Amino acid sequence: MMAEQDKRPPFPAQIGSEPDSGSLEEVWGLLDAAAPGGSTEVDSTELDEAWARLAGEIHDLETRPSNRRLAEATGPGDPSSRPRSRIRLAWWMAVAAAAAFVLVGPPATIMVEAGPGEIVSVALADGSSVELNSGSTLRYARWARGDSPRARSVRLDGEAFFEVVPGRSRFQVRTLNADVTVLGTRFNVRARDEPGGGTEVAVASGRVRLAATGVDAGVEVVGGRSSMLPLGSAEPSPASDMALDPILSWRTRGFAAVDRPIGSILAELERRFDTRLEVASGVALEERLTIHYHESRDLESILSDIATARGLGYRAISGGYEIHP
Amino acid sequence: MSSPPRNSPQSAATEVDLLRIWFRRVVESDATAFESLFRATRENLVRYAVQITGDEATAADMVQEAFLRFWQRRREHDPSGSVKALLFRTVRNLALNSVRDGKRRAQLLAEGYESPVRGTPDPEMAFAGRELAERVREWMEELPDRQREALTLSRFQGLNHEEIAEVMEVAPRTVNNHLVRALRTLRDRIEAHREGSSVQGAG
Repeated sequence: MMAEQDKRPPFPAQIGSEPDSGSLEEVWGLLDAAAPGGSTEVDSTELDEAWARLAGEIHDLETRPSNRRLAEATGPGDPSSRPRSRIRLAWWMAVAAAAAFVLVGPPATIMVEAGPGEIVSVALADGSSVELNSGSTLRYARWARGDSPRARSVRLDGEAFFEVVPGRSRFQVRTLNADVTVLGTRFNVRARDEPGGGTEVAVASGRVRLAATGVDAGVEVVGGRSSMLPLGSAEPSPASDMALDPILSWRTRGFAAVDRPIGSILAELERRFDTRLEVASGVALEERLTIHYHESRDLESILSDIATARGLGYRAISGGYEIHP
Repeated sequence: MSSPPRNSPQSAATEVDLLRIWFRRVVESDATAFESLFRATRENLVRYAVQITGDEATAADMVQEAFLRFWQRRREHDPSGSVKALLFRTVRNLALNSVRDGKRRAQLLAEGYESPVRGTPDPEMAFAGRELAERVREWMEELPDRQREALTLSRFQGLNHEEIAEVMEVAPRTVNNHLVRALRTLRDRIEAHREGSSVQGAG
């Protein structure tokens, strides 16, 4: 998830008309220090769990027979065992369930995870297939089968290669900041929450559309081209020619990064090799680098190449390596 | 690996636009938009609820409950309104109810709610800027509940006057009065503090 943002709401215009607004605006600025919670990063695991809980609860409510909810709401049980607001809630939920929108709503989701060092293949119910890179997660609706519009929507956090079979409905990949919409095609999506990250789409064949989440307009990307939507942006870059080889090298256990910040490359290596890479101060993580190994290569030789290219050193530490100037 | 600070803050305009788009799609029963909205706003809502309940677990429950209600009643909402105001108001009402229902702080509802207890400042934190920050935090706690709430929603949650009015169920003009009074109180405290420090420094 995105880190807590350091943005200060503008001083309200309404207060600007007060005679002493100058000194009040100064206080407004000083309040940065008093922000509740301090500098907390959003915990994405906690957020995922909260979402899974909520989605599961809604799914249960919407598929459960209404009479059971009613019994719970009005039955003799011990009313003190649940907070009152919950019981009141149950009343209208029962009504809602009776209105029979059983399949509408966030269903329980299936989550497939490729852990560090793993690459996982997923066969979807419509015949499409997904290959997940290390440290990536794919989520889709439990009842996704056949070819209903909702069945062909998946959520990707990380990187994956998709082979989508044509269907009556469009196939959609949702990421942290983008919607990738396709008909029948083969393409790679890389959606990483990291500095300089975002959603990057490279198309092997066919045609896809990349657009910011919830935005209708987007960029069409055809075979042989790629486009990138940086975090925080609403407009993807124009589609440009790209070499597919490095982008897809992860599928053959190779490793490649084209003009990517060193910090991003090291994070990718951590995921791929299930290792820990510590960075000593003085290493410029934002400097960009291009490396490409078409075939499988061990971690140390990749680190050695990066170190040589950037005049850095590295040494083995417990469970990984430290990179130093 | 120690990751460097993120440098991709979304502009306020983009965020508001996305919230509006998601709100409209939720009203049209789009579950993915609902998830996006949940992920984008949950953290701030929990933080706000903690201020009322004083307890993170209860606060998180109230936010879950608020989203549950929001989804279940999605068709009743007007997507041209502020989804932020709607969510904050729902969380506020649930949190106040839980405080009342728990009878832990029964007397509070009439006059407002109790602020969570915070640790006392570390006496060794002599560093001036840090000390002022601690003081400002204390002074904020000492503000009347309504003033502190309006200020928190405005300054830390980025709600505008109309949205805060909707959350607190008062007139926008009242919101402005709360904010101006809160800022004046803090300004006077800060000025007195600064004078105190400079006198000490001269002595």
